[in-house]
Amino acid sequence: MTTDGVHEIDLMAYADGLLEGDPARRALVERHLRANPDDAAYVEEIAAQNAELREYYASVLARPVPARITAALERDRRPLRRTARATGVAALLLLAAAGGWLIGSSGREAGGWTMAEFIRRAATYEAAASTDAVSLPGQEAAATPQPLGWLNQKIALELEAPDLEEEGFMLVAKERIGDASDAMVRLLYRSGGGETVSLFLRPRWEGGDRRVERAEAGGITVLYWLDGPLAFALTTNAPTTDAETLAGRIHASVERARLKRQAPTEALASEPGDPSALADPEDAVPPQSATRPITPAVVQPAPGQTP
Amino acid sequence: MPIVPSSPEKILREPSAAATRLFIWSGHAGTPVQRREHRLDELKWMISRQIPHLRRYALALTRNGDRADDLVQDCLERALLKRHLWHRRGSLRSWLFRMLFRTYVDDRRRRRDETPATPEVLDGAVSMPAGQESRLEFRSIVDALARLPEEQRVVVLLVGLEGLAYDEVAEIVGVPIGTVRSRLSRGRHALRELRASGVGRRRLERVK
Repeated sequence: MTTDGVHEIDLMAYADGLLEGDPARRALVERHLRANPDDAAYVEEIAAQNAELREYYASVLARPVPARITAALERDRRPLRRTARATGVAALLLLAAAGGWLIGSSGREAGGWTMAEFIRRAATYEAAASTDAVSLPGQEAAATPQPLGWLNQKIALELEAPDLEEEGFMLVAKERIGDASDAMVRLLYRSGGGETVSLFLRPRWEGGDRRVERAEAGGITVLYWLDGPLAFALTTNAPTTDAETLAGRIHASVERARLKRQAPTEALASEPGDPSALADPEDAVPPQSATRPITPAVVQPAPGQTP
Repeated sequence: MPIVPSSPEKILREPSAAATRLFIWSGHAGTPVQRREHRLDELKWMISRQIPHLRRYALALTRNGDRADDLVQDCLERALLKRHLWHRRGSLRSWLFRMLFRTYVDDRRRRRDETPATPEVLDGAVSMPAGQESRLEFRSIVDALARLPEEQRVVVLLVGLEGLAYDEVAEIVGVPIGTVRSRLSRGRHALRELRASGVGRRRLERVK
């Protein structure tokens, strides 16, 4: 622009009052403005724009802050559901295998799967998958809650995908793996550094939890745990210690929000597909878990399944 | 490479003087739990001081009082949930504005199909303290601003209305400083054209 080293950014910074702490630069700009009336007019224009903006909105600063905003400061750890939507966290629908899922049997999980099989499937899937091939268009895909379309099922668990943004991972893809009778969901997260985390989930109805444990399958390390109605398996190409941190965080976030424990006898006493077997969604969510409810919802009785 | 530092934005954020100050200021005696509560109270106190500014910026962005307060509410809830992250990041002010900006972007994405604010909504949102004269006079800048591309409007408001420095704006919006400068420059030139071409005058006739 000029020979005196004054550029447009100097003019703007001067007009915006950002050179107050730099008298030497300010003096340089002022000297430039005396010699360049056009630039001086530009600076005046910017200052006038700023002044008008501030004048226009001046009354806003003095307005009393509404109670709901001050209350938001007191509600830490208990954000409204609206917050979760605002952050674009995906909601997942996990649907249980028809019938059998409700009636748990000990030792072997309902629906004929075992934890060992689950771990093995997670590991082999991870080994085989090219993680780049399945990415959805980022946030757009994640922002819309979409049932995964297991239509012949009876029970839905609505679960928001664990938010790993604080750990530096964004949800980039979700997919269903396996056929309807034995399906699991895979969530793919990716960090800015290109590391990926695959989180596998599948529904279960066995009571009780199991803390995070580690298994090796096919050369892949799998971290796995049980959280109420869900089984989790996690694989990642990030270092091991971080994987455990991630697993712990997911574990904790789901734990806060899971279903009220339902006694096995109740589940057994109810007929599969009978809506009374399911708690009312309001009741099912413990009062302290406004954050990420896993809400059971009856879909529809599958034909031929009612005894 | 460890996971957390691999996020580029986390690498960029160095502990600031502001964060250090809060840390020292929080050096109460007492049990760890009491100390943690003191720190939380102080953080809330500092956040409270920013609320009027957050509301003003949100209102200028949305031109709708209810939506603006929704954004601020969401922003504060997010901020408290993620407060442990802030201690590693720059000033509390730009951290909060960054969170507000992200909330706004998410919100806009959801509302993409909605119609823009009408003059009636705007009238409801901003009640002018001054007389009719200044109301007419000052409509022009806001109307002109509404015609700018979103990316320019966001930046012009952060600098012109909130008085933030360019590097803070770059951090809030998540773009390089050079981009802030060029958006600011284009925005200011466009505003100048719009004001010179009498956007405000046409509005004045209509209002009359």
